[in-house]
Amino acid sequence: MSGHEMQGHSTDHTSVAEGHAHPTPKLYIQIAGILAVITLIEVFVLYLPDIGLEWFRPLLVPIFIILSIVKFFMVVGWYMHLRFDDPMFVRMFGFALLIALTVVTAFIALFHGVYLGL
Amino acid sequence: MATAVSGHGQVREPAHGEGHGGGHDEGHGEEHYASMGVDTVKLLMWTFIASECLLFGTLIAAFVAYLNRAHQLAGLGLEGMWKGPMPHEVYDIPYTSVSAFVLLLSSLTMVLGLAAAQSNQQRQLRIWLVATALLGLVFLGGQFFEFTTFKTHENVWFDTNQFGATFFLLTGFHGAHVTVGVVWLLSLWMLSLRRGIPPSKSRLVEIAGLYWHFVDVVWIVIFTVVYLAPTALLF
Repeated sequence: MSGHEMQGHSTDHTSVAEGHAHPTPKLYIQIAGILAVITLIEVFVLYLPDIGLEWFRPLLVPIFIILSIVKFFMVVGWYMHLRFDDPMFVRMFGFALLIALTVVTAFIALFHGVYLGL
Repeated sequence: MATAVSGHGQVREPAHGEGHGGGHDEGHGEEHYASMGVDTVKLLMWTFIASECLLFGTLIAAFVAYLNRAHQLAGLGLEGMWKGPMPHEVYDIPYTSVSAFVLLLSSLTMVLGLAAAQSNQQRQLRIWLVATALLGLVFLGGQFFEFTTFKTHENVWFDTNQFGATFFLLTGFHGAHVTVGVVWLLSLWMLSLRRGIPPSKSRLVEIAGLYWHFVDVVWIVIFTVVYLAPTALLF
């Protein structure tokens, strides 16, 4: 992304080849704000069971997973520019991520199978 | 000036800021395109990041394996069989949340540094590079304090129990990556001080940024899997 693009001008730079607008510093700051708010929400919900909302406890881990996935893809998509970059990078990163997730899932199934009924 | 074929079969000409120099490449930091039409330096960085996914995936899997065993013991009321404290007994979540904020903030300063490099704002570039490195150092200081607290006050270390082994291995590896990132950023800062980093070489900042953001992304996962999930499960 060139400096001209940062100022909103269109160039034939490869990073805009797909016709997407690129993030501006303002958008980067907005994304940081959203990431900070999500982190605050994570910490806040963690303490909900301690203030009498015990029924909330089983929901904690699924909520953490969803929120961290949102944060993960916001950083990868915007800050690492994967949304605007060559699809080859997306495939390469996605494939490695898939293998890593498979390893973690396999370990959960292997060591936690009794609880999951596996 | 090289012409490359894009990943979509279109012939692309390097735009301004890439490979210019009157018929010869000026050197490092500019984009170099392979026959596939992708920037080879970025391809190399993404390949490295992909391999890092596998490394951290394995370390996280080891922690998950431990966590499930601790969860089983806690579920059976057998925490007493466990040598040393459990994670939720030693974690300070508000403190770690501040560390997470610091690293998220460093990702913002990093990407603002890249924007400054691409728009040839040398002073801002230097400010953002130093800010990012300093935030990285703050994170490392926080991690050092956490490690020493665990060791001296909570008596948790590598050889205490499975928690100690997997926790310190995973977060220690991450801390080592942050350290490498800080050195990298300070090197770029010194380069910008001595010779400047013109827009044609902003790729140097972009590649360092990819690494730094990946370190941040890994922390997002660690914060959830290593800190929040055990605290929720092992109350």
